[in-house]
Amino acid sequence: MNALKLTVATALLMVGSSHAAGTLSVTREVTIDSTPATVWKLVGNFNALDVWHPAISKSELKGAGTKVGTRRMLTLADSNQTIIEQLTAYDNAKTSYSYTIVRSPLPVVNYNGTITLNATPDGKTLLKWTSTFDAAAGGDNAKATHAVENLYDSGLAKLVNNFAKQ
Amino acid sequence: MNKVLINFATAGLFLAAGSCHAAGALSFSSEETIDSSPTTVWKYVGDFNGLDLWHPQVRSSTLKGTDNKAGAVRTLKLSDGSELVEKLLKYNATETSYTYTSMKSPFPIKNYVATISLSPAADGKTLMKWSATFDAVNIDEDIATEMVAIAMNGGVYKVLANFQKQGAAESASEASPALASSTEPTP
Repeated sequence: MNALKLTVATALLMVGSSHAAGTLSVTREVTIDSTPATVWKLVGNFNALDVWHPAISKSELKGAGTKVGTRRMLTLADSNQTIIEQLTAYDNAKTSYSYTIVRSPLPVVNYNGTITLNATPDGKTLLKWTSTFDAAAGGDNAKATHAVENLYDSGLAKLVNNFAKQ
Repeated sequence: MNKVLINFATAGLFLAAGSCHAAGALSFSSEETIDSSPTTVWKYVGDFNGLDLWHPQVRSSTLKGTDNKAGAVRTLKLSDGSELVEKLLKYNATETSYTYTSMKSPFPIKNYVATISLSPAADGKTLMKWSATFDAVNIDEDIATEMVAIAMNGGVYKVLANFQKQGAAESASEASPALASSTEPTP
């Protein structure tokens, strides 16, 4: 079993050696009408995507809340398919975390994403959600990029709405 | 509205009868069935210092003490600039419930003790209940209760809407004015 894992890992490394980061990228920025301290209470919880992302109906954690290596298993509301993601960096002071996709039905590989909050001059929050990735084998780049864009746009629309003044 | 007024009258009778209450003589409860599990909904409403996430009138919440431990004090700033100070009395993550009291508030209300609790409902959903007992201060009891009702219903409705399935959004907005609520005299 270990030998098999090692072989697979080696194969992946060889295939992926030409680029450490993915060749595709998506970046989205939105202004949220609340302070970073408040928005971080929701966004900074690695296990709360089921609260603020409309496509995610459940998030379960393996590991300690915001420790690197912690994994979340997300259930997609539409299909009941699951996404497993792993925390790769978490910085409470900088209101930022990074994660990678371990397994998902999305047509992407080598995915590394980061969510960061920054204060705007007028006391609001600038949220930046960015990632690099590659299209899954046999998939095309446009399709992969579109899948990530859709995920970001639907999540951020709900997040902005959550903090919109009435 | 009629139901609310009738119940105020009842509460008034209790007062007139001279009952001695440790708890406030007035009460209000807002309840809704939320379309997500208690585990998920608790992530939204279960942080004593997180009212600024889910209450539409609360702009910020700052904490003194240890979060989600009895004795913690939160200061809430409302959209209109006014401030509330509230103290956590009981917190039970297992039972997804917490109870707190008001220490300072711009509302003409005293002896305010409230509980937020989630319990499992049919189909994996959640019954959210936000209830309080309190007294009016130099103001009609019906007006005091209506203030509490508006505040609680506003919060509960936002939680309801947050977890509404996207296809059901229209029926939710139609249903919002008739948000289920009730007032009952404190036993």
